[in-house]
Parts: sequence; C-alpha cells; structure tokens
Amino acid sequence: MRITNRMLTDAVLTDISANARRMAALQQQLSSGKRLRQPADDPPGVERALTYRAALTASQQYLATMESSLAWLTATDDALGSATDVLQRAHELAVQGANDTLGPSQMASLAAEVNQLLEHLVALGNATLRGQRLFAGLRTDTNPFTLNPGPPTTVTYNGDAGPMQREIDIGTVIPINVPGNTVFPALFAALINLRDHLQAGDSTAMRTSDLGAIQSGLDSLLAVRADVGARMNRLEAARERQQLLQDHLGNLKSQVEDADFEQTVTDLAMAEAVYKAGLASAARVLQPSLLDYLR
Amino acid sequence: MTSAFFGLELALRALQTQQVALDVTNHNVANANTPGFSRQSAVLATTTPYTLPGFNRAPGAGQLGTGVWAAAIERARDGFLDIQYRAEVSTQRQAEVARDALEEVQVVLHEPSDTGISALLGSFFGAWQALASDPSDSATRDVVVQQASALAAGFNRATQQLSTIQQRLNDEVALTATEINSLTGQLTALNRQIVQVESIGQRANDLRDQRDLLLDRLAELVPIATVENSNGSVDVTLGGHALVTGTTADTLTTTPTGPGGLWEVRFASDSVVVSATSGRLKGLLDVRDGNIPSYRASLDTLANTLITAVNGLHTAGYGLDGVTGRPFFAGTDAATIAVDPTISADPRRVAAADAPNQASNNAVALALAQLRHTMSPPPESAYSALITGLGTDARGSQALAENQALLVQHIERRRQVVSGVSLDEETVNLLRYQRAYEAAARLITANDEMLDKLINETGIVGR
Repeated sequence: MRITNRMLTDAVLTDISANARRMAALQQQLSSGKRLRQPADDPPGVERALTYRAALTASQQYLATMESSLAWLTATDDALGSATDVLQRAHELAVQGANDTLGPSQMASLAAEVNQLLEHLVALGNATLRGQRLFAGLRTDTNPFTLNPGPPTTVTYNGDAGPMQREIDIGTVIPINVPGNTVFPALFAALINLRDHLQAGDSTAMRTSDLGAIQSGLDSLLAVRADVGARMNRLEAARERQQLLQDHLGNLKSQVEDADFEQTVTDLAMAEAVYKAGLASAARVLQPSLLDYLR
Repeated sequence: MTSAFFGLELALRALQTQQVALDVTNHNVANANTPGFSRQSAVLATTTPYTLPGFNRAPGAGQLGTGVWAAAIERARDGFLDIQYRAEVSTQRQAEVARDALEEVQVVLHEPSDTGISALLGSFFGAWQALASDPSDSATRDVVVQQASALAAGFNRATQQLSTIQQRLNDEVALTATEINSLTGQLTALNRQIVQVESIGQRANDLRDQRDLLLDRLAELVPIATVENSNGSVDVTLGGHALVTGTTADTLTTTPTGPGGLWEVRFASDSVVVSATSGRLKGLLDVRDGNIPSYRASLDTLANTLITAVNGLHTAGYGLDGVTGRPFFAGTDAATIAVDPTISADPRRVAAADAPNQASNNAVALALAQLRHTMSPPPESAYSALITGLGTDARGSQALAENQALLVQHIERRRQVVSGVSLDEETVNLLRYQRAYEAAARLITANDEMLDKLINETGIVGR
C-alpha cells in the first residue's frame, strides 16, 4: 500500500483530536463531578435520574408534612393533657363536694374554683398552634368554643367536624386533628353541672351523677390521647422510613448522575498518557522525509 | 542507415520528455496539500520504431528504436472510491447536522438539572404539597403562585427556544439550496471546459480534480448520482431527477409551502419537490420537520393536560376569600400557559378548600398535589419520556455521525492511497528524471563530439 504524506498528517490529526476529546470529556466529568451532562450521554440513566429527582422532591415534602403534623399532634396532646389535669382537679373538688360535711360558704368557694376550671377548659378548647385553633375542625381561623355565662351556662361550638387530612406518603392520607365537638362538650357539661350543684349544695347529685360524668370525661380524654399518641407513633415510624427512602434515593441518584471519582481519575491518567504518546509519535513521524537525507 | 543527426534528434526528444516528467513531478510536489488533487504521472512510451528500408531483407538489425515521448499525462484516480465516498459523506453530513441541532435542543431543555422543567414540575407539585399541609398559611399560597409562574415560564421559554432552533434550521435550508445552485453552476462551467480540452485529445486532469471536488461538496449537501458522458462531461441526478445535464443545471428554488410556512425546496424546471434521502438538506429537514415539532407537541400536550387537570380541580375549589369557580392556569399549550392573572393578583384566591370558610380545608390542594401521581400519564413521567426520547435521538445521531466519520475517513484514506502525493516517491522521481535528463544531455554531447570528429577532423590528411 502506498503511504502518502496527507495520510500520515490526516491520521495523526484525527487520532490526536480524538484523544484530546476523550481527555476533555473526562476532565469535564471530574471538574463537574457529573457523569451525565446531557440526555444523550445515557438516555435510560437520565430517565432514572429524573425519576429519582422527582421522588426526592416529593419525599422531602412528605417529610416536611410529617414534621408539621407531628408538631400539630404534639400541641393537641399537650392541650388534652392540660384538660386532663383540669378534670382531675374537678374530680378532687367533686369528691370534696360530695362529702355532706361542707358548709354553704365552703361549697360556694369550691363552685368558684370549678368556674375557673371551666373557663380554663374553654381556653384549652381554643388552644392554638401558630395562630391555628387545634380543636376547630377545619375552621381553624375562629375560636371553636364560646362560653355563654347564662344562666343557664352554655358553651357553643363554632367549629366543624372536618378532619384535617395530611398526605404522608403516596396515597397515604391520615387525619391529624381532633375536632373539639367530639371531646369537649361532655367535659364542659360535667363542669357546669358540678359548679351548679356545688352552688346549690346538692351533694347527692354530685355523688350520683357528677363524679361519674367527670370520670367518664377523664376516660374519654384518655381514649382520645391514646389515639393521638398512636397517630404520633405512626408518623414517627413513617418519618423514619421516609428518611431511609430519601437516603436511598439520594444514593441511587448519585450513582446515576455522579462521576465515579477513582475510575475517572484513572481513566483520565490513561487518556493523558495516550494523548502524550500520540503527540510524541506525531513529532517523530511527521518530521523526516527523504529530503532530510539527500544532499 | 540512419542519418548522422538521428542520435541528436533522439537525445533532444529524451531531454524534452524527461523535462515533461520533471514538470509533472514538480506539479505533484507543489500540490501535495491541495484538496482534491490527484497525483499525476507522465506516461512515457517509446516513439515509433524505425524499420530500415530494404528490397528483400533488411540490411541491418531492425527495428531501430527512435527514443521516448510523453504519450499522456494521467491522474491516479479510482472512480469507484469517489462513488463510495460521496454516498457515505452524504449520510455523515446528515447525521452531523442532526447531532448538532439535537445538541442545541438538549442545551435548551437542560436536563438533568435543578433548573429544567422536570425540576420546575417537582417544585410546582411540592408547593401544592406544602399548601396541603398548611392550607391556612398565606405564605404557602405565595409559593404556589411563584412556582406555578416559574413552571409556566419554563414551558414558554422551552417552546420558544425550540421554535428559534427550528427557524434557524429553516434559514439553513434556504442557504443549502443556494449553495447547491452555486455548486451546480460551477459544475456546468467545468463540464464545458473539460469537453473543450478533451475534444482536442488532451486530458483535463486538473479540471477533473476540481470537478470531483465540487461533486464531493455537492454530495455533502444532497445525495447525488453521477454519469460520465463519452465527451467527458458529467451528468448529475438528485433523487432520480436531473440536476446537472452537461452544461445546463436545474436550479433549486425555495417556496414557503412547507409545514408551518417553512421553506420547501423544489426544482425550478417542473416545481417537483426535492426528495433528499441523505445529506445536509435531509438532516436539516428531519430535525426541522420531525424532531422539533414532535418535542414541541409533547410539551404542548403536557402543558395542556396539566392546565386541564389543574383547572378542573381548582375551579371546583374555594379560595381563602370563599369564592369558587376560578381557573388556576390561563392558556392552552406550552406557549400560552400562564398563571391566571386573577390568581396571581392575590394568592389568597388560590383554592385549597372544597368548601367555603374553612381555613384548614385542604381537599383541593391535596388533590392537586396528588395529580403528580394520579394524572395519566403522570406529568413528570411524560416529561421524562420526552427527555429520554430526545436523548435517544441525539445519541443515535451522534453514533451515526461517529460511524460515518470513521467510514468516510477510511474511504478517504483509500483515496489517498491511490491519489495522494507521497513526497518520498516524488523525490525519488525527481532524482530519476533529473538523472535521465542529465544523461540525455550527455547523449547530445557524445553525438556532438562524434559529429565534431566527423565534420572537423575527418578528411584533413595533408592539411
């Protein structure tokens, strides 16, 4: 085969520029840390990368939702805990009042304390988290309970029965609130009755109905708090799982998108050696011709 | 017997012939780097030998050689390689044009990244998720409006930039047609010159090289077939339609009759639409009329289904002001999608609730956030399918361009084997012809000395 000068120079040029291109691509991978620069680099890889990215943003949002839901449930539990304290104190007062030995003035002072407890309980029913009423159902921008002094004393509910639904994972929706009308009205009624009976000195009624009503109020509070606690446990477990999923997705995304550092450095060293060898051989091949040896 | 001056004549012809061969070598060396140049060689042949006259038998040995002449100057060229080269270079240019345009599309859509439409879709649904978990907060509504505006702007920008690329490709289609006309014009001129030169028995080597170079360049633009006529002119056909016939060329015209008012390339003679199966023109048309409209259609479908789905839920919802029936997005496709001005004027109008006067009602926001998974196909998957399709197209054209480059390089190498100038070879030829020239000169000297002997020193006895 005839080898001509153009062939030599052309071949040297294409090979050296191919080597330089390979080196530049590796260098870019190293400097950007990314293996995927554009969809054509690895179309299925890019599809996976986009899927992981979407799942990651959703996962972050689920985590944020769970954090705020846990805060809401914790505040709910705190308020219900305080309500339990109120009822326990009312129970003590009812036990004292049920005792026939108290005089009317002592009864009246007990009634005054129960009235305080009632007002405190209404305040607890209107408890807020960041300005939102915990027990108003979905109408969180207005106080759910208003105390009408009467007589007869009543407490009206301005909220609704709406559950606050939160999506904590794809398709998993749980209610995070306790609508006040499921818990508080019975408690208010028990306290109002106790106060009225104390004022009337009706220790029989206290024995026969008020003690029982307060006790069942405490029981219902306990049941609601157990339910709230169960939801918090569920959220915490889900949060842990979501966190693991997020770490996992992050790893997968990195595997698809990021350059393998050791591998790339090795490849780059190799490409550099090949490039230099190409330059050196070009310097040898291109220079001499027969003319160098003829005089 | 030959004449006394026979030797001088012969030596003179030898001198002249070696001179011609030297000149051919000079020409080769001078054009070692000229694109399209084919190495030439002087075909040396013996001149007609001389038969000594005689009645019955020759009085001497016969036939007597009369020397050398340059019978022809040939160019080293393999027409079959030219045909192969032109077919492959057509496909190479087609793939390269597609590769470059798709590269640009990839830059415009910029995936995977934190700023592309896929990230914007993620942030958009994320904002609804955030609103669903805090529906009474007005700050989360602001975020929803901002992210939705960013997404809409992302769609607007992407489709606008795709349209810009399409317009640029369209301009290039017109330029390519102009370039083809310029090349065919030059080809007809060369055909005329070559026919003139060769009709008087010479070989138009350099003109043929120029013509082959023009044909190579024409083949980069459109796939061509060539037929050489007996008079030396070349006819060129494009997709079976005559393009150059001898000294006349059919010009190409562009009319705005293609899809969307884009240029369509037609033959001027009969208005037949040019059908290119490869070459730059084919690459331009493929991306202009195939890839880009398909990507834009995907974006439009995605934007349209998103607008319909979001508005369907949003119009049924209630804003913080208790008003219902408001659409969230305006527009119908990727170019027109925007957050409805009523909504963007006051983010409190974002409808998160499915009933009025419930600050924490998030039913609509939740359903909107869930569109991410409940739409069929999910918008992020639809977009990622578009990107994967783009990636596959781009990778395909890259691979084809790379393969064709290797193939063309290989054929070009084989052409160089046949037609290329080897300086070593030419140097040796130079020496060879130079030495032959010197020897021929010496022949003249020898003949001269012989004649001198005969004329000046013979018959002078007694002088």
